[in-house]
Order: sequence, then structure tokens, then C-alpha cells
Amino acid sequence: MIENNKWIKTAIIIVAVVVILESVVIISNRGSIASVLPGGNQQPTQLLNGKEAGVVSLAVKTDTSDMKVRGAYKVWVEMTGEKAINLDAVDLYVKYDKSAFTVSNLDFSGMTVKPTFSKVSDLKSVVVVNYFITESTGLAMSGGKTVKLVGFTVTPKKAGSYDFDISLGDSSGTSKTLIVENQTSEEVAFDSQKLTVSVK
Amino acid sequence: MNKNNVSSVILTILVLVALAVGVVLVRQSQELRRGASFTTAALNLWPSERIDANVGDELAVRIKYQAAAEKLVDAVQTTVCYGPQVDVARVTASTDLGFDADPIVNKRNISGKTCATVVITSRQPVANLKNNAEIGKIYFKAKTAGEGTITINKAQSMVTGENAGSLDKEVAISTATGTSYLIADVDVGPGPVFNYKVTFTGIRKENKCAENMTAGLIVKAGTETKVYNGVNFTRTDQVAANGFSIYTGSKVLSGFTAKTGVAAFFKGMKHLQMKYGVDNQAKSYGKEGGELVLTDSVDTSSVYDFTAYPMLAGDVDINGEINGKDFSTMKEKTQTYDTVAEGDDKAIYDLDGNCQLNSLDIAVLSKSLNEKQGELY
Repeated sequence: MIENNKWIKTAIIIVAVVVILESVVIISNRGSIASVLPGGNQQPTQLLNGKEAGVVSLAVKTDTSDMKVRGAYKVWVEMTGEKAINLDAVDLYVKYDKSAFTVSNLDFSGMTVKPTFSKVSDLKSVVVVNYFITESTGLAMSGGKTVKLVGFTVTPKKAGSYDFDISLGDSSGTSKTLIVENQTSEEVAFDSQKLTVSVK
Repeated sequence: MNKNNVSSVILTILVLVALAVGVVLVRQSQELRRGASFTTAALNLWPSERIDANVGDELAVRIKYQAAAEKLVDAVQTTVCYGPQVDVARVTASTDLGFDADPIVNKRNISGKTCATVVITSRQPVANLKNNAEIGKIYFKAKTAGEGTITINKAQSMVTGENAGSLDKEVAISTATGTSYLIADVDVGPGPVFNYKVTFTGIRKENKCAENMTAGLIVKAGTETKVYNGVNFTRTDQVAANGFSIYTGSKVLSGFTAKTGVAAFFKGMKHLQMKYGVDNQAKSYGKEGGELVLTDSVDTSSVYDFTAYPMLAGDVDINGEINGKDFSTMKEKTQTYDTVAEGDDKAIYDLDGNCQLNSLDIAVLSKSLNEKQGELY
């Protein structure tokens, strides 16, 4: 019994020492550039799950995801702020399947500024909208604020399941959706949500 | 309670306290990491304009930082990624400014790109640290002809500084601006002569800050390619139908042997690369190859007229395209309404060459974007 108690005490002391040492190591490592010297894989703190947290989110939406061939349906691309930020530019590219849809009637009524360039490109199966905000402070977004960047009418040509998705760039690096902050003139991270529709 | 029991209770309490402290510290550490940056700094490569060089040359690229006023920087880790035409030859630190000699350099592959991480530190006392300095130079060796960019990988770069009274030393990198290069083949021997007439979007006869225009030139015919930099354009008094000033030039394509089926690609300092493949071209060529025919004589080689398809200005970050980042940069610069002279650092933003940064430059950029997007889509 006495030997058993000694063994427990020894174990407790070892655990205590390990915990204390671990705490000291954690404290001493904070903020040191040494921890990210070449070869290190430390991620910047704003990275969450390997992906930078978006300051805005883009979502492709429609009233119904069940569509019929030759019907006409309105699709919107919405941008929602995740935090307060002022934007200077939005280069938006929305991919679609040109073999399955006719896209027409670009609608910018959800925005107070007109796009500098816009086009439905059957050539590249993409809807292109470039917003350059000339207002000196840019487009003010705040947490929860939503603006409709563009709407368009889609007419299904054939049955199946199809996506309308925010393009992050093709193999040549073009058609890359880009959102640019007013203060830094740098692109900011965004989240995106595609729309999947079922055509019958 | 016997002695053994008392010591057991004390040890148990000790381990519980240690565990609790450990948990608190771990949580605290993670939270501090999120908000650990005590200020911000811009990290830039200089020159920001394209570096023109020949194969075999060494390109010196300066690393500069600018932190907020009174915020002192003591170490910078810069990860630069670059194209296959160049490679890091050596790195030096600004020892005259107190940075330690012998920077740490580590080349590696990041997402398929060749990159080099350079760490330069300073052990100077706080009084000698600076908020704004050039920390060193990266010397690239030009290996092969071609063009490309040298970019800073923000996620793999880091700045730290003196933050009196706090353990948080990290300085968040607000902007990271890279540069670009055009590596040309060394001019050797004779070659066919390429005579040309061009215009630049927005540059009209009355705009005086666009007298000395230059560009890089790539010529291709079949599988043969040659790259030349510093190709000059001479301004004339003539104006094209589109209202823009006409520039002329002539270039001996040293080392280039093809004389038929030639295509020419001009890339100005703030312009998109433009392909010219046929005389009197008025829109995007839109085909493989080219139809230009050259001779060995400046007198007998045709003067190709590309004035109806002007070079598109607005690629001010020199990444090969015009997008929202170029606009945002131009917007910031043009709001100053600064007067600029040709050759100034800010001249790259004077897209119409009228010697002032203003909304007309934004208009040129918008026109270029419309033109290019119309071609692409």
C-alpha cells in the first residue's frame, strides 16, 4: 500500500513538472520570428482551417432550384459583409454550363453604381461584371449588409443537375473573381457559395 | 490525517493548479496570436517598374518596408516567388543601416512556384531601429529570355518589431508589392529589320509627358522566339484616326532568322502585352502565329501600321492584366492630382501622358479594361 502511494506521488510530480514545462515553452514561443524561419510551416493567424477567413461572402441564389426546360428563372449574385470594410472594386466571374443554359438580361438594379464592364460570355461560359467604385471611400460594407451585384435570367436547355459558381480563375489565370479593398488596394479574401439547380 | 495523506493532498492540488494554469495559458496564447500584430507595415520590392535586362545580367531587387510612424522593425522575413527565367544568385543585407550581415536564404517550391525565403534581422539597440528602411537586396541571375514577375508571398513572409512593454512583436503585412522583369537575348549579329508605327491609348498630341516611350518586344515565327528590351518609339507630329499620337520605330532583330510568318508582341511599362500580326491591324489578331514579312534592310522592310489598335494602358502593377487592383491603385494615386514629369516614379500612373494624375487617367484605364475584356469574353 505504501509503495503504491509512493508510485502515485512520483507520477503526480512528473505530470506536474511536464505541465509546467509545457506552459513555459508555450509562453516563450509567442511572437517569435524564429518559429517561422525558412522551412517553417506556420500559418498566419488569419488563416482558419487552411483558408483565409473571408471578409465578404458571395452567394449565387435563386427562388427555386427546381427548374424546367425552356422556363425562365432569375438568378442573383449577392455579396454579404462579414465585417466592416470599404471596397474599391469587384471583378466578378460566374461560371455556368453554356450547353445547358441560355443566360440573358443582366440586371444591376441591386447596385447604386453601374459596372465598368459587363457581359454574358458564351465563349467562356462565364458572366463577367467589373465594378470600379469611383467614390473616394469606396463601397461601404458592414457585417450582415447584403448587396445584389448582378441578376440574370437563365433558360434551361436540357435536363440535369448544374452549378452556377463563382469563378476563382481558369487554368490560364483569367476569369478570377477579385474583391479589392479601398484602404490598401489589395484583394481581400472572400467566401463563396455556389448554386446547384435541378432541371427537368 | 497522517503525513502521507497531507503530502498527497498538496501534490494533487499542485497538479490541478498546474493543469489549470496550463489550460489558461494555452487558450491565452491562441487568442493572442489572433490579435498579436501590434502594427502594420508595407513590404515592397523595388524598383516596382519592370526590370529590363539581358541574359547573363544580374538584377538587383531591393527589399523595403514601411511601418507606421514610431513603430520600429527588427526583423523581416520575405518570401519571393519568381519565374524560371531568373534565379536567386545572392542576397545582401543593409549592414550600413544596422542589419546583420549574412542573411538566411532558403529556396523552396511553394504551390509549384520557385520561391526564396530571405530573413534579415537587426540586433541593434532600440534607438537604432527604424520604421522605414531598405533591409537588403536580392540579386537575381537572368538565365533565359522571357518575362515574368517577382512577387512577395504574404502568407510566408513576416515582420517583427520592438513593442515596448509587450510580448507581441509581430507586425502585420498590410501590402506586399512585387515587381516584374523582361529578360532579353543578347544582341548578336545582324538580323531582319522590323519597322513599325503604333499608338498608345489616351496619349494625344497635346499631352507632353509621353515623349520617350519604350517597350519590350518579343518576336515569334514558328518555333523561333527572341526577346528584346528597351525598344524605342519616336513621337511624330501625326495623329491617327483614333485621335492618338503616332509613334514610329525600327528594330534590327539580332539573332532572329525568320523573315516570314512573324508576329510581334509589344509590352510597355504600364501597358498590356499587345500582339501584332498583320499590317493595318485594327483589333485583336486572334490567331496563332503572324503574317509579318521582313527584310534585312531598313529601307526595303515594310513599315507596319498598327496605329488603329493602340497599346492598352493600365497594367500599373505589371502583372499582365488590368483588373480591380490596378483601378484601386490608380484611384488612390489620381486623387492627389499631383503634377508629374516624364521619368518620375509616379509617371507610371500618368496613363494619358498629360503631366498630371487625374480622372482622365482613370478613364484611360476603364477604356483599356473594356477593350481587353471585350476581346477576352
